[in-house]
Amino acid sequence: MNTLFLKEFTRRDFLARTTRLCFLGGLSSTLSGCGKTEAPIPAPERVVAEIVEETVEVSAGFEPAYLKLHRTGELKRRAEELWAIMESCQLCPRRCGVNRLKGASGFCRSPGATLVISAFHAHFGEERPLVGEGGSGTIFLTHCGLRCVFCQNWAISHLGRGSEGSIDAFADMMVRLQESGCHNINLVTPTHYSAHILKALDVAAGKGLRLPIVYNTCGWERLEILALLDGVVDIYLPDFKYWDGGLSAKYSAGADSYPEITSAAILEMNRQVGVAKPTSAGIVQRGLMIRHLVMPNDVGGSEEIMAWIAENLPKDTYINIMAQYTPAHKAYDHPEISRRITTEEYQKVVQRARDAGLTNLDIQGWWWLQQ
Amino acid sequence: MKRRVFIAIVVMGFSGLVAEILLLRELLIVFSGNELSIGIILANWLILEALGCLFPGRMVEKSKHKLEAFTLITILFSLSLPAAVFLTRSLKSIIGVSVGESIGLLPMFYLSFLILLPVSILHGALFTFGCRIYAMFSAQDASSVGRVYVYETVGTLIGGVACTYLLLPHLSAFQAFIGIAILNFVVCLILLAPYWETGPPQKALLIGLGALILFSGYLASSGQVDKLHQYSIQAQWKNHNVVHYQNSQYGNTCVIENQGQYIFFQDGIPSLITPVPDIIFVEEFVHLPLLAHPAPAQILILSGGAGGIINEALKHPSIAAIEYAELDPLLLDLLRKFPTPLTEAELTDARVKIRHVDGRLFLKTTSQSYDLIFVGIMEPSNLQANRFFTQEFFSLAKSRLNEGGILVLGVPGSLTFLNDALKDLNSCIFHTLNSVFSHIRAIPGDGRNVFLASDAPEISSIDMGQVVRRLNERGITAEVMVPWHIEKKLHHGWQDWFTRFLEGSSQRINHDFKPLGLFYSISHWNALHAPSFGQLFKQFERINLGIIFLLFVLFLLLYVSFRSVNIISATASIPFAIVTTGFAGMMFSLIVIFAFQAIYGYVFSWIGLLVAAFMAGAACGAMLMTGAMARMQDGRRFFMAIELTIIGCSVMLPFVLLAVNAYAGSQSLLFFFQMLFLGVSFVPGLLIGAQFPLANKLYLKDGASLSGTAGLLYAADLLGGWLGGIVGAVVLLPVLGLVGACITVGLLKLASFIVVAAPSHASFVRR
Repeated sequence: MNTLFLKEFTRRDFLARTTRLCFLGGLSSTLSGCGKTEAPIPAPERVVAEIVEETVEVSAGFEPAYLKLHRTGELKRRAEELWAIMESCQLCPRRCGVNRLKGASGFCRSPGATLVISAFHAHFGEERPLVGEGGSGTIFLTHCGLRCVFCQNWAISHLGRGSEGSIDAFADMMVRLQESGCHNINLVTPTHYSAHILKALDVAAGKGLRLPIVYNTCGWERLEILALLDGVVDIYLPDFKYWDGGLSAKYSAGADSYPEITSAAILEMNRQVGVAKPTSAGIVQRGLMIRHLVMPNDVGGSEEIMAWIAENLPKDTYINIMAQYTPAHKAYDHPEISRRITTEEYQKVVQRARDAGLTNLDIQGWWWLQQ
Repeated sequence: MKRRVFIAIVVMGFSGLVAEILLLRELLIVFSGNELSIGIILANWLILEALGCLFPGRMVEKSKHKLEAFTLITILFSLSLPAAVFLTRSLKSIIGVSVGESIGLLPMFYLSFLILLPVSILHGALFTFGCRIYAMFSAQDASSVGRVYVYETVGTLIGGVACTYLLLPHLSAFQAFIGIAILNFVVCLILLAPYWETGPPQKALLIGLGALILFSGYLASSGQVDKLHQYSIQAQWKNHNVVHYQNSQYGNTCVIENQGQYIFFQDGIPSLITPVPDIIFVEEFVHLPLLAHPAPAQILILSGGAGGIINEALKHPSIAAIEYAELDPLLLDLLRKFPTPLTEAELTDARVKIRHVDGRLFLKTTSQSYDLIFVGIMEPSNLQANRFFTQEFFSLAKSRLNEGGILVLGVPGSLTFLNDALKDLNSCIFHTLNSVFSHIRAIPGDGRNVFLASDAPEISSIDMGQVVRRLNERGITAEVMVPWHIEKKLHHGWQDWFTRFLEGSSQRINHDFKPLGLFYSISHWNALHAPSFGQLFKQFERINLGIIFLLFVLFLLLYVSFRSVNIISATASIPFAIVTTGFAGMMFSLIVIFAFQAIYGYVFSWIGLLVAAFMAGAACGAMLMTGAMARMQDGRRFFMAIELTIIGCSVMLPFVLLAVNAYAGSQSLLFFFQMLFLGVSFVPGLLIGAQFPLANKLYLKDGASLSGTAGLLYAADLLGGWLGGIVGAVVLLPVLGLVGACITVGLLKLASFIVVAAPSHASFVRR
C-alpha cells in the first residue's frame, strides 16, 4: 500500500483521502468517546453530509466573511478601533504601549504606524489546500513581536528589510493577487499590522476583492484583538511552537506566556472559523490550519501539543507537522537547538498525533510513509 | 651595523605580511567573508598602515633615540599580534553576535578598524623609522628609502611564501605569532646589543628583550600557546563541542559535534551538517534534474558533492560513474575523520571518483563527457566563484555534456524578500545561461533557486506525472521526493512566477573577463546586511568608460585651474603619481591573477607564483633604480618615462591576456603562456618598484625631511593600493570588465603623467 501511496498519490487522491480521513476521524472519535471537547463536533454522518453540502455550496459561490462587515461599515469601524490601539500599542501580547501613531517603535521594531512589506506574490509552496492551481496570494509583512532566536526569516522579521507602502498600495496588492488567479490573500506575520490589514481590506473589498483572508500568524494573539478579527478572517493559519513557557521565554525573547495565550487563541480561532474543509477543487476557503515545527530535543513540546490539540479541538483539525528545522540566525547560541532533527524525532511526533486520534495531518515526506 | 638594520627591515616586511594574511583569515571567519569583506579588511589595514607611516612615523625626526624607539615599536607590534587574534575570536561574544550569524557592513568596518588599529599603525610607523635608522648607518639619504623599500619587499615575499606553505597549514595563528614575536625580539636584541654600555635605558631595553624572549619561548615550549588557542576557540564557538579547527591554503574549517551530528563551518559559515543534510534542498537539487533525464549514467559534480548530493545521486540505478572535483582536500579528510554512514557510503562507493582540483580546471582538461553536470558552488560571491557562472563556463560545460545533457546550478533565491538585487543576480545568471543553452528551467525556492539548462527540450516540459513515473521505475525512495512535494516544486505556476520575477531586471551577461555576477552578488549581500550602502553601491553599475573619460577631463581642468592660482603646489604631483601607481600596481596584480584563474583555473601554487613574480619585480625595480639614481642626471625625465611605460602596460595588458585566452587550448603553447603570465606579473612590478625610490629622490629635492618623505610616499603607495583593491575588485573589474578596467588605469596614469609633466612646463614658460 505504501509503495502505491508513495508513487501515485496526487492532488486528486489527496482530496479524496482528506475527505475520507475527515469522515474516519469523526467516526472514530464518536465511537471511542474522544470527541467530548469544548468545541462542538457534529455526528459523523452529519460531517460527511456537511462536507458534501459545503463543497457544493462553496464551489457555487464563495463569499469571504469580511464582505458583510465591509457593506455595513463595521470593517471600517474595526479598522479604526485597531488603529487607535496603536496610540498605546497593545496589538500583540507584549503590549509595550508605545505610541506608534507618533512614529515610536515597540518591541516588534516596526517603524511606528508605517507599513513595511518585503514581498508579495502568488506562492506555490504553501500548504496544498491553500495553493491549488492559482497559488496562495502571499504578502510578507516585516518585523515581528515574537522574535525567535532560530528565525529563518530574520532578515525581514528582525531587521525589517522591505519597502514601505501605503494602505492603498497594500489594498492594490490584494486586488492584483486576486486578478492573477490566487485562491486567497495570505498575510504572513500580521499581528502588529492588524490595523493596516483591516484598513486595506476595506479599501480592497470596495475594489472588488472577494478572496478569503489567511491570517498566517505565530499564534501568539490576544483574544481582544481576535475578537475584532471575528468575521473578517476566513482562514487562521497559526503556529503552535512551544508547550513550555520557560522555553518560549528562552527562545522567543521572554515570551513566557506563549503556550497559555496561544492555546487560548487557537481555541478562539477554531470557534470563529471551525475545521478547515477543502472544496471540490481541493482548496480551503474557511477554517483553522495549525502549523507545528518539530525541533531538536523536543524543545517545542511537540507531543504535548499534539495531545492538547486532540483533547481540545476536533480530531480532524488540519495540522501541518513541519520537519525542516535547521539552525539559523542566533540558534547557535543554544547548543540544544544547534542541529537538525532526526528521523526518529519526527516520527515520534507523528506517531503521538496519530495515537491521539488526530486524522488530518499534513506529514512531510517519506518519514511518515516508512512506517 | 648596516647588516643588522638590513635584517631588521627584512623581518619587518616578513612580519607585516604574515600579520596581514593571518589576521585577514581570522577576521574573515568572524565576518563570513565575501569579496567586499576582504576589501574592507584590506582597506583598513592599508589605510592604518598609511596613517602609521604619516603620523607616528614622522616622530622619528624629533626622537633622540631612534634605534631604541624602533625597538620599542617592534616590541609593541609583536605583542599586538596575539592580542588582535584573541580579540577577533572573542568579538562575537563581546558584541552579542551569534556563531554563524553575519555582521553588517558598518560593524564590519569599525570592528576590523579597531582590531587592526594597533597592529597596522605600529607596522606603518616601523617603515618610516626603518628608513631613518638605515640612513643613519649608511650615510645616504634618498637611496636609503629605496633600499628599505627593497628589503621590506624581499621580507614580504618571504612572508608570503612562508605563510602559504608553512604557517597557515601547519600552525595556529597563536603559534605563528609567538614565533614572529620571538624572531622580532631576537632581531631587536641583535640590533641593540652594541649599545649595552650606552646607558640605563638601553640596558633596560635589552634586559626586557631577553625576558620577553625567555617568556615567549616558555609559552611556546610549555604548551601554553596551545592552551590559549583552545581557550580562544572555545570563546569563539561559544562553548560548542569543537572537535576540529584547521586552516588550509584555501580556508578555515571548524567542526562542531552535537548529539551525533557534525556541523562543518567553512570560513565561519555553516556549510554542511552530517548525517542530516538540508534534505529538502539536496533532494530537489539532485533528483529533479536526474529524473528529468531519461537515463543518467555519467555525472560530474563540481564542489559541494559530499554530505548528501552524491548519496542521493547514487540512488539512481543507471548511474555508472560520478566524478567529483573538490578543491580543498581538508573538507573530505574531515568527513573521513568524523564518519557517518551517509558520508562513508558516499566516499567509498566504487562509482565515485574524487579529484582534488579546481572544478573549472578539471572541466577544461577532462576528455570525458557527462549526462549531468552539477555545480555545487551556490553564489558568485567572489572572483573565484564567479568563474562558475559565466558565459564562457557555461559554453565549456555545454561542450562536455552528452546529447540531452543537463547543467544544474543553484543561485540565491527567496520567497519572502524579493529585492531588486536578488532579481538582478538571478536575471543576469538566467540570461547568461540563456545565451548558451536552448532551454532553461527555473525551480524557485526559499534560499536557493535551481536552474536546469539543456539543449534538449525535455527539461521545459517535464511535469509531476513523468517525474513520478521515473521515480517509480527507478525504485527510488527519498525523504521528500514524494508526489505532493514534487507537484509543489514543479507547479506550472512557478514558470510564470519566475518570468514576472525577472521583469525589468538586468539582462546583462556575466563574462569571465567582466564578472558582473560578482557585482550583483555583492548587491544582494548589501540588500540583506547594508541596505543604505546598497542604494549607493547600486549606482556604480552605471559607471562606463564615458563617465571615466569625463572624470579624467574634469580632473585635468580642475588641476590646471588650481595650479594656476597656486592652490596646489607642484610638489603634490609626486605623491599623486605614487597614489596612482599604487592603484595601478594593485589592479595589475589583481587582473593577472584573475585572468589566470579564468583561463587556467584556480591553481594555488600558481597564484602564489604570480604574486611572488610581481613582488620580485617590485624588489628588482627598486634595487636597480636605487643603484642607478646616483648616476642619474634628470630624475624627473626618467620618472615620466616610467609613467609612460605604465600607461603602455595598461594598454598592452588586455591585448596580451585576450590573445592568451584565444589560444589557451593549445598544449604546445602552454609553457610559453604560463611564462608569459609570470612576465606580465614581473614587468608592472618592476616599473612600480622602480618608481618609488625615484619619487623619494625627487620629493627630497624640494627640501622635505627624509622620514617625512618616506612616510608620505609610502602612505601614498598604500592609499593607491587600497583604492585598487576595493574599487578595482568590487566595482571596476565587475562593471567595466578587463578591458575597461585597464583603460581606467591607463587614463588615471595619463592624468598623473600630465600632472607630473606640468610643473616643468610651467617653469619653462616662466623662464
